[in-house]
Amino acid sequence: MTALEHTAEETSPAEEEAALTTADYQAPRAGTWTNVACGATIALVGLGALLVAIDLGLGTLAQPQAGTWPGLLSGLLILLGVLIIIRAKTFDDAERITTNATAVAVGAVSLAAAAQLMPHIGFEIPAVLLMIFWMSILGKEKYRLSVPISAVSVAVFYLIFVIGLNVPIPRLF
Amino acid sequence: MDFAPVIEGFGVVLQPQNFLFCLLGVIVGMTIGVLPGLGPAATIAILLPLTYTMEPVTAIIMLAGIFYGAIYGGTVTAVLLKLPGETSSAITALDGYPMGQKGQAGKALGIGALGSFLGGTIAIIALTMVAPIIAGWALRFGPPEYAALTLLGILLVATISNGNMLKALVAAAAGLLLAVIGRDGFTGELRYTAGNLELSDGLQFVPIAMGVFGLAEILYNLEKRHLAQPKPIKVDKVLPSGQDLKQSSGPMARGGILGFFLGILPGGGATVSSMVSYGLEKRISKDPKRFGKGAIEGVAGPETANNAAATSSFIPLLTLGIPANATMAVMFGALMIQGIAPGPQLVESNPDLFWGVVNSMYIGNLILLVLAIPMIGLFVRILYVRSTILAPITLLIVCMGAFTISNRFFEVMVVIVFGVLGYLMKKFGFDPAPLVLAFVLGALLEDNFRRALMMFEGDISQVAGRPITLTLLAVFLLVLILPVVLKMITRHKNLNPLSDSSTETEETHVR
Repeated sequence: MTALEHTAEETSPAEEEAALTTADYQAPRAGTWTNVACGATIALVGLGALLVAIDLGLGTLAQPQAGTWPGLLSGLLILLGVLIIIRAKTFDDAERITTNATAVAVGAVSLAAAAQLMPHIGFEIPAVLLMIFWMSILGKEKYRLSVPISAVSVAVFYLIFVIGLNVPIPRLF
Repeated sequence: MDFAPVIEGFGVVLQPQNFLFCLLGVIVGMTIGVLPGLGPAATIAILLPLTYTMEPVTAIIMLAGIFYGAIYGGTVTAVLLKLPGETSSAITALDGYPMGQKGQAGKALGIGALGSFLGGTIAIIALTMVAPIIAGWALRFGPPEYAALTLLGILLVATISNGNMLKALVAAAAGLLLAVIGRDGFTGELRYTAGNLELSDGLQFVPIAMGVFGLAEILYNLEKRHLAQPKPIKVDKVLPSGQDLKQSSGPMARGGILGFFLGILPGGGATVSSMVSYGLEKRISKDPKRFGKGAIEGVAGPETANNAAATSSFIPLLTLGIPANATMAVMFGALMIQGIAPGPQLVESNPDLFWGVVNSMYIGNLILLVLAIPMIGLFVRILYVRSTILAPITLLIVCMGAFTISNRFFEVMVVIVFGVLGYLMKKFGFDPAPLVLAFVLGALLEDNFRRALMMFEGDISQVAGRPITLTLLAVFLLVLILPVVLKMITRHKNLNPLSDSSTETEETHVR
């Protein structure tokens, strides 16, 4: 058992985290299997890349082709992936994916959604909505704070990018 | 050495308009640089789009301002929040934060600014002398030498990076593979595009850097949103006194020289130099117990050293075209966008641009010193703004900036993909810096590798006839094997390989 898990047992996690600030917080460590999964993913990506490289033509040392270099790199990735699987037990630098990661997923998806909307309805509305969403839903700020800040920020960005820098971004106005 | 182009370069830099942009660069660099989690590489990547539409000289000058502002932003958070912006200012937090707790935050920040200025200046002067000589020497390099040198550069960054070397090598290999995407320069074939036309020109560097450095950090911070934000220490108006300056002069001089030499080496030159400087000052101090409790030498030495190193790491970039660390990789991308190809030819073919870059560093550094102290109050106020409000604003900067790269939303999506990848890398202990660096150098490396192979007609033993390549490859193998051998020896002798200062560094978390 690691020292971290030990302290977590003595005080409830909620109590402990309430006293912590972002400056001294350390995320819980992940176990061996996370590192095995990392290694396997890397090796698989390497394998996929190797198949494409073979398709491109591996060539020879005297006559390198389009697939020579990526082929070498794919081989290296497979080797490194396997090494990580073998040594998975020795790593203590991976963090466990906890429920906190939900916010990250939601944040990334909302950003992608806004970026998909912008070409169709202009950047202003998706940008304001995205900022309000991040501030008030993800960040629990009050709406009377998030709505004006978002509106003003987007207006300032409009001035800088559209009027100042002449960026041809799709827009309403 | 002919000084005429140097002086002419100053004439360009000192035009009022350029001066103004440098000032603007320092201000936005510091403002973004004090945001949680955003180190210099992320800050510069995020602000790059601002310089796209400018004249090359103006853009470079603004970049120099952003560069120095971003680095100093890390110092401010190290002293006031114990949150260094990057590893190289982690050491500053060791004594800077206790100084702040004793009500001497102003003093620590003042000495930090002065040290940064002196370190930067020492390094720029040395760079002015040394760079043209190295560039002249590097002009004789052929494809095998370049391939070996690039390989060594990437390996060194992977070795000295934060965290596990095996994982850093994975990041480097992935970066090299990402650089393959797009049209092959030799045969014209499309590689790894999966039929996507938008990938046929390959991935661009800026969205990758914005993603894995900038957005990844913002996403990572979302995980910690349930935690309280640290309150910055109150800043007093006290500036360093004559006594403080006297006490700091030795550490600054030593730190500046140390930083210059260590900064030329690829990898974490700035981090290593600040650690070495701290260790040195502690060792030669009459009262080493004061260190870690707010010793002014512990701020003065490392701050001078890391800024000298940050500046001298421009030498491999400007003379060999090889960025020595993540921040330089971003600067490399920035210069390429302006149509400036850093490398040995730059001094010869474009002396005005080369000296423009160097001279803008003098000015950026000076403006930082003049501005830093009066503006500290403003930056502290930014630290009070909750990150739940700052993060979405930065997000919008990233979004608009990414669009500006080539006026299409494809780049915004690339930023998001690499943001998620960067977040996962951070979670699982993979340092993203080798990935970005390897991506930047990927095309250069493959190009020279293939040229070298064709030159040798597949007979690799011909390397024996090229002493420089042979030496570089020998160093490469040494760097690869030495840590493993050292580990085996220390395990055998059962010695603790960590010295005092390095254990202390590990205790200070880098955001």
